Amino acid sequence: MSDQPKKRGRRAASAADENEQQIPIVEAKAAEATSEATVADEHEVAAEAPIEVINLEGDVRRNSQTRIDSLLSALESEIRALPPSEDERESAIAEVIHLIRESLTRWPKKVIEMAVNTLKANINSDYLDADFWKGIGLVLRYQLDANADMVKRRWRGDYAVDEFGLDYELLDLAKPLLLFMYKKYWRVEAIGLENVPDSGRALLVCNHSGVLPWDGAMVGAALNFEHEAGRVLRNLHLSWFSSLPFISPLLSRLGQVQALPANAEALLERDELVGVFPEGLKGVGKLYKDRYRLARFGRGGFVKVAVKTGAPIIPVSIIGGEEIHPHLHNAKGFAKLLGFPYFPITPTFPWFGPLGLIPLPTKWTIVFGEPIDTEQYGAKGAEDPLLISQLTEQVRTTIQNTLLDKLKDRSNIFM
Amino acid sequence: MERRTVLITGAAGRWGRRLARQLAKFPIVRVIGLDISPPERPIDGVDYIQADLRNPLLVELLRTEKVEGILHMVFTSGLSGGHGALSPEDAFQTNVMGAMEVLAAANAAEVKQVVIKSTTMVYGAHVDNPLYLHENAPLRGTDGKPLLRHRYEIERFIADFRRNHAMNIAVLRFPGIVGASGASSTMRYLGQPTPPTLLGFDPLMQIVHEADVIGSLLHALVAEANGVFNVAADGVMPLSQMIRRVGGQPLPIFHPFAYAAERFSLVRNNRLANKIMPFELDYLRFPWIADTTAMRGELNYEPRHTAEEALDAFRSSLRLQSYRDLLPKRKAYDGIQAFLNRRRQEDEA
Repeated sequence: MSDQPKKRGRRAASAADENEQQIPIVEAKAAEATSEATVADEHEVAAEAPIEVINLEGDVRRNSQTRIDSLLSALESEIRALPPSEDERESAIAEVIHLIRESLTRWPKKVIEMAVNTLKANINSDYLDADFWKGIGLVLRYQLDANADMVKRRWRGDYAVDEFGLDYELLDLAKPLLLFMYKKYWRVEAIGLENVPDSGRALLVCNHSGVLPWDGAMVGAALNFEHEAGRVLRNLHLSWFSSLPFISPLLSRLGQVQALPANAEALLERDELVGVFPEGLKGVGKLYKDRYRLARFGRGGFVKVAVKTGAPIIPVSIIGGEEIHPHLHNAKGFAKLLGFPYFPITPTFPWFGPLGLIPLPTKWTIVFGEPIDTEQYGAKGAEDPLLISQLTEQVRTTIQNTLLDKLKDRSNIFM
Repeated sequence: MERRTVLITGAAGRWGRRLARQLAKFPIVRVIGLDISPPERPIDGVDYIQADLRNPLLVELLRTEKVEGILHMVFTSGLSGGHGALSPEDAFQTNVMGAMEVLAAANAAEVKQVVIKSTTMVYGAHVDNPLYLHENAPLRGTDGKPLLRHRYEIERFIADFRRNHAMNIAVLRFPGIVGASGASSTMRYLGQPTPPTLLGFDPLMQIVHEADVIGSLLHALVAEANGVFNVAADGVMPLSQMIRRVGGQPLPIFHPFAYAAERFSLVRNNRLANKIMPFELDYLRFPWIADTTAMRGELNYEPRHTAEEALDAFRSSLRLQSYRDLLPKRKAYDGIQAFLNRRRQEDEA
């Protein structure tokens, strides 16, 4: 019932549009059509909720009648008060009021009240403007055409993916969900976006957590929605995902690439923005008690690639992501049985089945740190194990310190 | 003007024939075509020799004719061809031992350039393949079908051979070949109304236009290329997109079932099954895309067709398949004309 007033209002308004074009020649005809529509409406409403109009006692009926009359006259006076330039609209509304009066006997009082109230509410808005409805119609039609065209094109295979399998059309389809998770669900606050270059290569090194790798998606969302250049982040994902049906093509179409040094190098060579999570499995499958304690940063392979390609390293610290699935226990036996790298026991999973996969709505902060220049070492630096381990440690310390710094100021994980 | 001599082995075959036709257009080149079976339609200006490749007189031929380049195109599936079906052992002899002997003979006769066609399938499709495989990536496609093993053996032999011999050997690795002719395993697979795929897997795929196969082989011969090169069209696309672009729709099969079928030899060694699924299933599951930086750089070959164009050409030819009788026919081979041309050339020389 809640959207009833709106519906009525629109119906009345469309009747008004009809009249606007044809008054007063076919007025009678239009009135007839409207009254037919209202009869149908009556049944509809009656079915929805039993309304006690028709068989009411005389005085009650008179009471409601007077109330409606006063409403209508108030509406009329308001319309008359409109500036003269709104001539057309005025006549349209007057016509609607005329129709309402004519069909008063047939309408239940509630419906009339709702219709009148809607009309009243919209007197000064664009709802009664024919152009508004034409606009809505055009937009809808355009959208329908575009969607139908997209389905047709994809059916024919007439679309493009980039060199690493990213399908921008699918990415656009995924954006509303990402936007919702980013803006409404986790209310992500992105700090230091200016540290990410507008163009050219860079390697973003992030802390990993959260059982399900939502953090990568959110860093990507921050860069896409909030960065000035709207950059697309290519995350490197666990090799394990590439062996999974459905997951593997989906990740690939959304721009994710399997975490192999050769892939990272190829991406950076093409001046892409690459996101890595050097903690890997140890990070994403971290227990709740270990949150914000960075695990070992792999073997420093990511630094090697960055130095080799001269890409700046940007340390990214994600706060809030580590609590979305409190990972209480890793059921290793189950994991082995299913061939999973880990099997999390959280307060909600697996007890609530798939519902247990709904993450907690924590408040996130993503800090993009100062870029670490690697160009100075030259491509040869990649062969220097000492330099690599030093840089790895530097990145790790930066992220850990930023995490501690932000945790210090955080009073509540949800706020 | 001294003419330079090029030997094409397997000149009656699919690729040898086209290469011969292209090469014969150049007046400076004299083309000798070697094949075990006579050509279906002899090409004007090509000297055909009908002989087994594995012939001790091959060195003699190379020496006396002063052959400068060899396009080694002998590679038989063993299933069909002018010679009829071959046993797996005979196919191995022809493919692998044949290549070895051609290389040995070429080296002995001081041939400058040998060009050999191979496939990017030798890299194998594996879950841990980098998305772009460079030429020096390990060759892991050995446990596949016998034909792939032949390619692998040839490549291994060439890699060894290179170490001890200075002769220029260009090995060009091609992905699935697509074009208007409709005659390749990739095209047989893609051309079906519903090519089977694996449910939940949609790897990026790479193809090459057949004109670029011919073009790059000739380019490697002329440019005296040495080394291994991946040659592929620009543009990778998911397998499902390729199928759709050609006009079919993929038929996803739950992969354990598909693998079971493959293991029970329902798919292997069965001609019908081979037609439906000419690849190992892994090739429809994991990526095996080759990097083409060296093709542009060292080989200096620029492909003329993109992947989209190759697929579109194939689609057009598929659509016209049932109207083939209405298409303009190629002129029948005119033996008299060829004879007169040859005589005129000899007179001029």
